[in-house]
Amino acid sequence: MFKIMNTFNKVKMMMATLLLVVVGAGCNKELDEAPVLRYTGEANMTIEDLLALHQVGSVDSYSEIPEGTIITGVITSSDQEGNCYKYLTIQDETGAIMIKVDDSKLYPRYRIGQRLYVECRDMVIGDYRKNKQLGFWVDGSITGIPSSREAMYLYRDDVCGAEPEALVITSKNDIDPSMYNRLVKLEGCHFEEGGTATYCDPGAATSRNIVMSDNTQIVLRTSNYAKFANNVLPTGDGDLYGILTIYNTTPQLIIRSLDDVRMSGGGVNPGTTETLYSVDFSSNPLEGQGWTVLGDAGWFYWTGGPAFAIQNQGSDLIDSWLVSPAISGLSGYQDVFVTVDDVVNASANGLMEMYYSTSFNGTDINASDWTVFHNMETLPAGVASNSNFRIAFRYRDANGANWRINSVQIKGVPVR
Amino acid sequence: MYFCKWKRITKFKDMKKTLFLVFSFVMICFTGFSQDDPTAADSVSNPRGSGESSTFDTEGLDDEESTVGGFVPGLLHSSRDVFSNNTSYAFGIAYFKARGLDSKYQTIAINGLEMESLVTGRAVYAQWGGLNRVFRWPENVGNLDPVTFNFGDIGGSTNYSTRASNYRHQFHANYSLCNRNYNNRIMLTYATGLMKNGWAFAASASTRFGSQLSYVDGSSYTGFAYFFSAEKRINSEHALNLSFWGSPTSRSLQSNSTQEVYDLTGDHYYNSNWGWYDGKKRNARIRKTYEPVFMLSHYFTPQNGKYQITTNLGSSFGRQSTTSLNWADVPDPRPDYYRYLPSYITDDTTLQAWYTDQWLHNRDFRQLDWDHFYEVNQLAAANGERAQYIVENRVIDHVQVSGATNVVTNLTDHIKLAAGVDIRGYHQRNYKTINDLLGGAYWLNEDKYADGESPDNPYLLYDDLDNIGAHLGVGDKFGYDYAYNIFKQNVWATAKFAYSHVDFHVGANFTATEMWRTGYMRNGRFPDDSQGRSEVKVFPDYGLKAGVTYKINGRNYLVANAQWQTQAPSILDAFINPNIRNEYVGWVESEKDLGVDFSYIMRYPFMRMRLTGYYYMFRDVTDQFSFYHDDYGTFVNYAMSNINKRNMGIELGIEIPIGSMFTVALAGNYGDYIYTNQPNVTISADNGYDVFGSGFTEYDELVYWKNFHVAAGPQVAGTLGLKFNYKYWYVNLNANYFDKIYVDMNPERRTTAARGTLSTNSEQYQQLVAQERCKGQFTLDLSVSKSWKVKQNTIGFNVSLTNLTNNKNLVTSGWEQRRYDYSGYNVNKFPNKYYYAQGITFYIGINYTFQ
Repeated sequence: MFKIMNTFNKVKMMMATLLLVVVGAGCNKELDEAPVLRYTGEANMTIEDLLALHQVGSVDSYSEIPEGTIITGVITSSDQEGNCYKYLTIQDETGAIMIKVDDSKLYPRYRIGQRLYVECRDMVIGDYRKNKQLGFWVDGSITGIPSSREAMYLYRDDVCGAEPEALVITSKNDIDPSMYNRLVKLEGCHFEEGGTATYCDPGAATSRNIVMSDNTQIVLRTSNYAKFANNVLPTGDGDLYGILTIYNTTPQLIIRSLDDVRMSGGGVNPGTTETLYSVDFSSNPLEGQGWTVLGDAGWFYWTGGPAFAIQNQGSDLIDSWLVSPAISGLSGYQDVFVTVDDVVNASANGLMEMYYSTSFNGTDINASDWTVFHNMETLPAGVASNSNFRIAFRYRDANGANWRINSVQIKGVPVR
Repeated sequence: MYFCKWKRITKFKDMKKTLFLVFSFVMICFTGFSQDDPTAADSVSNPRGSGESSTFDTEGLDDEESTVGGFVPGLLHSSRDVFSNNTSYAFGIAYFKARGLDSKYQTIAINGLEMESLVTGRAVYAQWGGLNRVFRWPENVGNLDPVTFNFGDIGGSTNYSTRASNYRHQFHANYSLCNRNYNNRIMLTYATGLMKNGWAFAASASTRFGSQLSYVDGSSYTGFAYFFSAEKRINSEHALNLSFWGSPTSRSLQSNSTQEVYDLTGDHYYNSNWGWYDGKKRNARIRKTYEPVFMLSHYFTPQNGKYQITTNLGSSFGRQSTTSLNWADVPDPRPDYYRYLPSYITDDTTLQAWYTDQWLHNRDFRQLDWDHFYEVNQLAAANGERAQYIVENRVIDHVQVSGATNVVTNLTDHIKLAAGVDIRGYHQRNYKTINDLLGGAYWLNEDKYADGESPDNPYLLYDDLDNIGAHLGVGDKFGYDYAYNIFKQNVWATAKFAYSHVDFHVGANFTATEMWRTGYMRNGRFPDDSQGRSEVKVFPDYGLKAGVTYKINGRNYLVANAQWQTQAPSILDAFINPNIRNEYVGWVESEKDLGVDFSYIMRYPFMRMRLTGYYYMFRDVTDQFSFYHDDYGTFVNYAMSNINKRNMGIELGIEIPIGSMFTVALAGNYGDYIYTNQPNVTISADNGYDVFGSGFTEYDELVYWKNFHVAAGPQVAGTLGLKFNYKYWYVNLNANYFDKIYVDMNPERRTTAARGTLSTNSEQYQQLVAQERCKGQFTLDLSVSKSWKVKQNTIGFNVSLTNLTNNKNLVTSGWEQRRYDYSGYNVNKFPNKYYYAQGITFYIGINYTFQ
């Protein structure tokens, strides 16, 4: 028995040891961490010196950059809200420059506060309506770095830092060219149309006036692709942050998000667009929803999408119309537009167009007036509220040309 | 940190000194024996997965404390291992891997001839699927224990015998009903035993079929199997045995999906591989396997009985083919492709709601739309155009010829020597054919991903430059066509020494592996580098093993084993994009493995126990895969090398009999399997062009995943069992728990390229690197069996119910997708994918044995 107990003691010891080793190993060890991206080179030119390489003339032009030029700066722009589109602005202590990049989703990698090195290589410095930009000179204007070539030109360095301090501007008269493309703060200002107008009219970039405390005015320029484009400008006085650019002789402020707008009034109900009509593709819209195919046969409901689709494999043209039912429920809304998500593969001689009509009799295309419109184009006032408002998709093509419409929506802003 | 859990245990205060001593001992064992090898343990274990869990071995415990002349019996030939005996079946549901070791670290032999594919390093069990009765009692050697039929791998070795005279004279009939991959199995086996005329014969035939009861929708299974073995005792010294078998099987495959899809369908076994066609569920993914094996064995046992020489010649050959959809200029037809999921459609709430609704309520929406494929193809055919959808067949043909001989001899009463040579040649041809044009007219041998990649090189598009524009029909080869060729020669020797209180063994082997690729198609991406023979690479490798068993007495044993080996890399990891290139990966080299274990084994009538600590180290492991790189917009080849890993843990098995009828068993593994370095990666674009924007077609980087976990099944697993045995009634009840189940990581997410400039504290970074640990799960199993003697014959049944509580949340494997959203740092764009263990399954077998 003694022998057994003795063995048990040994066992205990062994179990303890083994457990120790394994539990020790099991205790969480520090997890590995990939190093942050670092740029190994050095900048050899200030932005001010870079800007000085190019003199703005009467028309857009460009100047070459010495081989091996490397600049660095901190990013101040962001396309997260859709207002700064396909460019980055960076600045150092000496100046700021806009870098054109042919990429519509830059913000996850190029965030505000990020240090960026630019190996200028074969890029040029030029101007677009007097605003200096870094890019490539193609067919008379500056174009961006192709997204597949970003890695050759743009180098991030270290974790993202803080946003650079904004340059304070209190009057339009303060502005001089060294401030272009810089992050600025318009101190003590208000919107001329605060509380009444939206940041942007549907369909196109829009200018609004910012009134400074000395009553000079600076333009706020907003893209219709900005997520806040349909929000109403706030009331009250306050400060605005953003990138200051120049358009010929007009200084423009471009805000990056609504966080850049700090007005005392605030609180204005944003007048966002509402979706007023959309095709329900869960069942065949050609059966029961009032959609019809007129002219030549061709349009069909493609369950694989689901979508409306058409493809003429033959070499003889077909002219097939896909016509909507009369769409009601659009009165009481302004700035109505149609948004279509589609894939078009037209041949050179093909015609694929969208029309609207208020006079269609339900059977004869040719007996009614049809007006061409484009995707997201604001329709003339009064058209959409007509009780016989219809839209149509016309395919006139052959040789395998195809068109697929994944979604059709009609949107508008409620009339206040 | 080592002592973090132990501060609380005051009971062990006085153990500090002894702890230190024992700890030192363990460490010495772990390091001092690294050049040698181990001993111990036993076993003939239950062939798992056959469903025949009724075959409980009731071999008695060795009651004698010590025997003649102070000689303590060794552990061999003792009862089966108390850990594997209690875990091999119970842990199967969770894809538990003993010590976290991949099956490529196991040797699977038949008659001493290794059966692993030289390409994958893993045995193809399907080659003898359905022949459970004749492949029933292999010789199993656990992990690092000594082997006599070959050198043995670090994950253990198994040897099946097909020698006809080894089968007892009887006729056995079995019918099984279950709801696993197949539903029915009928198996007939007959053996003559050794007859007076010196002949012995054994034969078996079976069929497996039906899938209506299976968990996975759209599944099918049909399998047949045959086995024949004949032995002739030529004289008292010589015997010849010829055996051959085959198992033609056709079965459908299950898809894997993201959690979003499982949630939308409310089904953890959702299968996107099938769709309605002609009123039937048609599965696009069918795997057919038929790889018969022939084996001729010669046994030489001289009159003096001092040694035995066994020589085997074997050949396996045949085909494994898997069908799959392929498509050209049309959207991805797989219903669960990420672009068809609500999570992808974030900028249009109406459309998102519609997709959600379709997923939730439209069962057809979730499945393949065969009618649409036919419609599109027929329209195209009517216009003389190519098919847009096809079913392709990915074929793997192989021929293996192998020979091995080994000698086992007792040099003295204390020394047993085994040595052998084996030589294998392996040729595997890989290609695709067209299985079904789905109503289309023809297919073109073009690479859809190459379209538009380079306007200045039109040849990029063509997979077969010598047949540009050929209209391909059913049965024609396309895509790729190449062969792997491997020759492997191995010599080995092991010696076992048995003395009164100490047994030990040593062993060594030397292996030479030659490999090369032969291309049979000239690919447009690499016209000069895809056809013909590649350079031949030779990898010399060696292994050393040793072990010692200290027999404290006939009840208590201490065992230490160690094995060091180098292993040629798999040819699968040796080439950059082997489908189309003859180019080797830059730094392909042999991996180095070390395995060490240390056990305490106790065998008393009132308790049997094994407690083992193990430590495995892997260096210079290689891995390779391809995926669509979203940042570069092309397929890339991702070749990893210099991967170091470490598996350590403890295994415990205890059995305590209660009275004559009951036994309580407790067994479990607590493991910790991690990566221990920052491996290298070479990323190269499939198209051989500079898509990185950096001026190079490939680049190297490091993967920062040290101390992250290796995905190797549950690293923690335990079972508590109650066994009942009375008058041939056997009842087993097991409660099991599984934990530390990690998903397999996408290495790319742990690189500087992926991290960019995210700060460590940012949520995005934390999401990016976090390795998901799946929730721990309980399962419950019950099995009952009983047999009766009817005169000379036996009739019996066995019922086993697995996962009685119907737990459908046990992840058997999960992995991070290789695609990664570089531009958005959004890990949820390509979320993890999972397979889940099946809910309750049953297996009912009825056996009749005529003696």
